[in-house]
Amino acid sequence: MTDSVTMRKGWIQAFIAILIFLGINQVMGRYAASVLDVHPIIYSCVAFNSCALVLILNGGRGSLAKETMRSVDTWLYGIILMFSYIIGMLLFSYISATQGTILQKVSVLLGLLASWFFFARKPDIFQIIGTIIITAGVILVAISVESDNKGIIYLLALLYGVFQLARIFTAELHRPHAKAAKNNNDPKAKSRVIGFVMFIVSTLFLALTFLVALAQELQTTPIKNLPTFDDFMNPGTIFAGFIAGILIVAPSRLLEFSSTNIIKAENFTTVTALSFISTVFWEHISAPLTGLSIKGISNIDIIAGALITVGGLLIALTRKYKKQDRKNEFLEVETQKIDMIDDSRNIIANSLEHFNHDLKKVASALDVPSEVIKHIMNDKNKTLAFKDSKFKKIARNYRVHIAQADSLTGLLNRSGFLTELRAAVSESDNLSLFYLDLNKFKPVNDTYGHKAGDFVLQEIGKRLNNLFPHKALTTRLGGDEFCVLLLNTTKQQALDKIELIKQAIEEPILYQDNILNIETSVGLANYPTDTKEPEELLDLADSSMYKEKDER
Amino acid sequence: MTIEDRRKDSGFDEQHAYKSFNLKQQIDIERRADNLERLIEVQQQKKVYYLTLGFCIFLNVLLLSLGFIGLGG
Repeated sequence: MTDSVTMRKGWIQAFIAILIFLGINQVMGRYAASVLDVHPIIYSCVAFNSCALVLILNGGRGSLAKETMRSVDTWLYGIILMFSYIIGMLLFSYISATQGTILQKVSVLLGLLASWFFFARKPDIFQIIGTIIITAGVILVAISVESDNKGIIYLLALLYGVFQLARIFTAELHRPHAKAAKNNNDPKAKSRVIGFVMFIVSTLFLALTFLVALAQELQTTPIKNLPTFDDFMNPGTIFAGFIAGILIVAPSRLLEFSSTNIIKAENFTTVTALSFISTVFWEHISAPLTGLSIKGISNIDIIAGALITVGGLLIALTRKYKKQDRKNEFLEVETQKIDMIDDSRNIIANSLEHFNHDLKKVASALDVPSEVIKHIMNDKNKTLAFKDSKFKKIARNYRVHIAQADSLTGLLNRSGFLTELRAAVSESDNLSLFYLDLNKFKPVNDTYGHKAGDFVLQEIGKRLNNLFPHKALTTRLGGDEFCVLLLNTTKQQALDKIELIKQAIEEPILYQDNILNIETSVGLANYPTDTKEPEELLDLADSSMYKEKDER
Repeated sequence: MTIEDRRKDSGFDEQHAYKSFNLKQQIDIERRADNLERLIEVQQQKKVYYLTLGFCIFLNVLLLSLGFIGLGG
């Protein structure tokens, strides 16, 4: 998947998480509290538990279970979520839910500052303007708050914003999730990892709630609003929480982790600025069913909500459609490390040569964006080099896909093959090497031209590669000579394969309405039957092939 | 094909190993050191998975039971 497609996916996930799931979640929470009379803490405990269960079941058995349970990131996320929830509860006990929702958007400003100072992600002009608009909305509500405890409210709103931001950053930086996101072989790994995270969250919540209920039980007069054991037996709380966990919290958490991993925490926080309008929308839509009303919202709340929405949209949309220049991610200006500059330039120059100046192929082989390659190519002052953190991977890609690869067929070249042969000896007890020399190839070149010859070599390379896809190393040594090294194969087993190889090569090749017939001579040598020296394998197989050629 | 690719093609299918019910038997007969390590890793991951899943089911059943008790009372 290309970078832009992935980014678009990340933004769409953020919008769905906030505009759909967060909005519905807020309405569901309000409905449960005001109509079903549920206890909010126990409701959340049950929701987190059922969310964990459905994600773990969906994830199934697989890797990263152990790592997630042991990861400090997981426990940190759980503790932060728990604290942000408690602070949120305290905040909402002083002011209305709408005002609380607006005040906590101070997290957008904090997010911008944190990403700038701690992660060196410099904001652009739209991000700064959008954040100023959002902050204006927050200040408007903060001034309009009528309470004797303004100081406490401001402190709680600030803390709530800090914890919300910390939660989103922890989701972005969660290491097991980042690993799961990269593992294409295991698409359910993300669900599994987030299931385990939510399990930790729910267990922490439940343990805390249980301790509070126990303390309440020991008191002669229990404190109002804190949970008691009776609240655990409120069917409305349990069943509403159970359903909300499966239908709302589970997809919401999956989207939050996945999106923050792609678009980064500060951008996700910006999209959360749209939660105000999302909540109002869903409350309005569901009013006939839930009986909830939005009439309690004051004019100042509406103006502040509108400011926050405009600011959030301005940042989100300009960031979403901003052209991604990944120069800074891959390159740095160097004046001291001349070797690094030379190595970087050589890798690009050789790669372009190898792929006949096809930029897309070079970008794909090195796993470097095309624009980064262009920056190096156009660097007349010779000051740009790959960053240390990227160089190792790029150098490896260069070695495997370019330095050790045959540019015509994509198979290993002689040097790459010899390296792999030496490594194979230490790993495999039995190796069989086939040495192939094509017959009737020269007439093809002479009659139909070099393009036809190249086509034939590419076609034969493909056929050999497909013949033993999981246990062979295939190479073009040069000209019309190929080698196939079969791992863990005895000489007797290998003798049976010779006919197979010949059949694959001798199958007619169609080139521009012409049928080309190619044949091959095959030589075979086995390690350790014929020699105990891996280097000799190639010579022995070569001699064996010439013997067969002479007998033809 | 690189050394890492070859390791992947060593006949060891991790996804299949997670689904296997006779992992212990496979561990006993495994000869290759790197495969053995990976089989033991799979066994540990499965253990953590089942323990967590079991505890999670227990908590959910407990909470739902309390809800049903409340419904009856």
